[in-house]
Amino acid sequence: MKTGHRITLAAVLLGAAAGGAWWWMVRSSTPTHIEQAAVTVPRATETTKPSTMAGTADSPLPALTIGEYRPDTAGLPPIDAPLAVQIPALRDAAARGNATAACRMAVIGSQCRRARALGVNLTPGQSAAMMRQIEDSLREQYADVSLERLPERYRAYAQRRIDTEALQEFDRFQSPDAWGRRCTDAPPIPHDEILAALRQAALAGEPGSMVQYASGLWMAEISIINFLGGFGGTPSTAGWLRSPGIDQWRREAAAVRRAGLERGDPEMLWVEFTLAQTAGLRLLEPTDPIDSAAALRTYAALIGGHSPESTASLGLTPEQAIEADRRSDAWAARARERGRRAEDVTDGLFAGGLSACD
Amino acid sequence: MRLTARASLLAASGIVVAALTAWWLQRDDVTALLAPEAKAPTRFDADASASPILDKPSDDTDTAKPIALPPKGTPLGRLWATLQAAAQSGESGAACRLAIETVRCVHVARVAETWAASQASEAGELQTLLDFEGAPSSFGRPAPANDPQARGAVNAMTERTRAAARQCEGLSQDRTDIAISLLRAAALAGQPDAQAVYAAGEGWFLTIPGGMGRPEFEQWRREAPMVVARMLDKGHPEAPGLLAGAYSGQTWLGGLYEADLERATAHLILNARLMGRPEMAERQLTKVPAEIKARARQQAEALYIRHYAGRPVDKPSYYLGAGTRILQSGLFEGETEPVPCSPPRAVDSPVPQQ
Repeated sequence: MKTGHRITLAAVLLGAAAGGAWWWMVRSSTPTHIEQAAVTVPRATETTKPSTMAGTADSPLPALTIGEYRPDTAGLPPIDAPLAVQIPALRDAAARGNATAACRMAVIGSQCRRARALGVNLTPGQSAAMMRQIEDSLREQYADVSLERLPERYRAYAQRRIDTEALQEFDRFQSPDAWGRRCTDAPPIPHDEILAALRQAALAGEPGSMVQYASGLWMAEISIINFLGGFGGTPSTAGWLRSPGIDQWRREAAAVRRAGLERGDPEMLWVEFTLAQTAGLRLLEPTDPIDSAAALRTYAALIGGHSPESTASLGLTPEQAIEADRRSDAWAARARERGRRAEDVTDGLFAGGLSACD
Repeated sequence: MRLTARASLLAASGIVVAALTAWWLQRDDVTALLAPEAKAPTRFDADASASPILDKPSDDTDTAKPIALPPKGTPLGRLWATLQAAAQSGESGAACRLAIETVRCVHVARVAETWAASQASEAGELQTLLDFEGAPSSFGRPAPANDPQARGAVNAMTERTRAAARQCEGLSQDRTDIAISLLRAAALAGQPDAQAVYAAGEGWFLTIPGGMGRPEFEQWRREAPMVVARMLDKGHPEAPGLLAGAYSGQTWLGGLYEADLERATAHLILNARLMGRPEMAERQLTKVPAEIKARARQQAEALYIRHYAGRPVDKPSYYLGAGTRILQSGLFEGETEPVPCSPPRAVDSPVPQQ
């Protein structure tokens, strides 16, 4: 599964965009505790009151049917075929309803967009420094954020994974160079088409696409791509905020997020308790501390294979903790029914490329 | 994921990206990041003219004598106690002040939180930063981690963020909700500071959790280009920067514009001229073909004559920080940012005709 390489690359680009200045500013500081986040940034989370939110709050979530994703590669070009060959074939297959093709289109489109921006704007020294930092942060990742609040035995598990598989995967990380070469001869995919492909894959239930779509990571990436394009670059996304795809996203994103949590997708759980708790990616809805705590607990359950401690220690009120535990039990049960594992996230974080959709 | 979480937070927190990017691009050395040049005021004449396009919250907003706004540094809770009634009854200065201070406080809370936990003095990371920047001016200098001056700056920043956060006590979700609608109302009423923040967009809709789910985001998508056009007409110092970012497609506002390199270049040149740093534009224009640059220079000159010549124009922000810099008030050393939305300076000189 493939959530992560996209998230990671978004981070890469962000680092580049701010040129480290910004990175210094916020360096180590994303709140790593739900308690901190809940008390420091005032918001409606105490009551999860939706207040004046448009579309997402005063009206119920739209009735979206999220599929159960099954990769369907029949008739699709091999993933190592030249992109100029793949893109037309994938476009046709996606139009016929093949969500795997749509997923690949979204990956190719965003990877190439980003590779082009990186390719023209970073020196080799900058790329190397950036990659070094990424590697360091990957090493710290689980201990620092994800597992800090988990029992020791889970931490040991995660450490093992990151020391072995994860860093091996990292070696195969889809570098801008690799994508840059692949993308050289590929026709750029218009922004609207990338977004439509991402949406198609998300609604088909592809977990990585669901995370991308629901969280708005795709928007963050566009903003960075545009920045990286530099002054005088050729923005491929002119007028992108006027696109009808934005309206669609505003109507649907919250429901996709909710669906991912309720089906116990570890990718969505992970994003919920790491990224989303900072509120930074909650573009459409304020953070819900009950969801954040429930997601953390569910993720822990998927690692440990059993129900962990109550969320009562996560800075919630007793009533909130009861509700979070209830949600978490339901989400974990669904994840087990569907055979989803915490490893899926780890795999997704470091896997790269088109195999992400397969 | 450490970097990822941070990065993603900032991805969405475009104000931070924009502002820090602006410093980065203006930097002379790393220490400059910690002590950016003193900020210039962004006051100018309040727009008292009605617009046939923009709905104003109240007809008498602009004709009423502006109320006296509390001094800079007034705690947020007291601002609300003092100004809420006036703001909600249509006094655009009060609305502007409450809105900007409240949005600023949401941002301050986040910055203070992240900065407080920061270990910015780790030599290794600073070295990476320097490597990344590859800034020639950084070479040969002592590593900031070992530089007492840099350390002092870090400590001072910590203290400033704490103080700024204390001043923001009284922040709540309800107030934030109200603030966004006041921001829009004040912008449409022609309050210059509100115009800049509202039009740039990212400073509020990425800062406020759930900002893009709000009705104001939808309204912003329709209204922002008109607000910016109006700002330019009135000689607002931030207008060229907003338009340079928009036509170049580099900012969130640019998501509402078709890319136009010549116009982007013209506004960039104009912005640098108003900043008093024309060389900054040159640095940005390396990718712009000479013939476009030449036409853009003429366009910039015409824009200057039409909108700015003969007017006292305050120094604008760097173009990527246009419209968001005011929200950084209180966080940086040596800033001279005036009270947001303070009674505008009278501008009597007519717009010169060519």
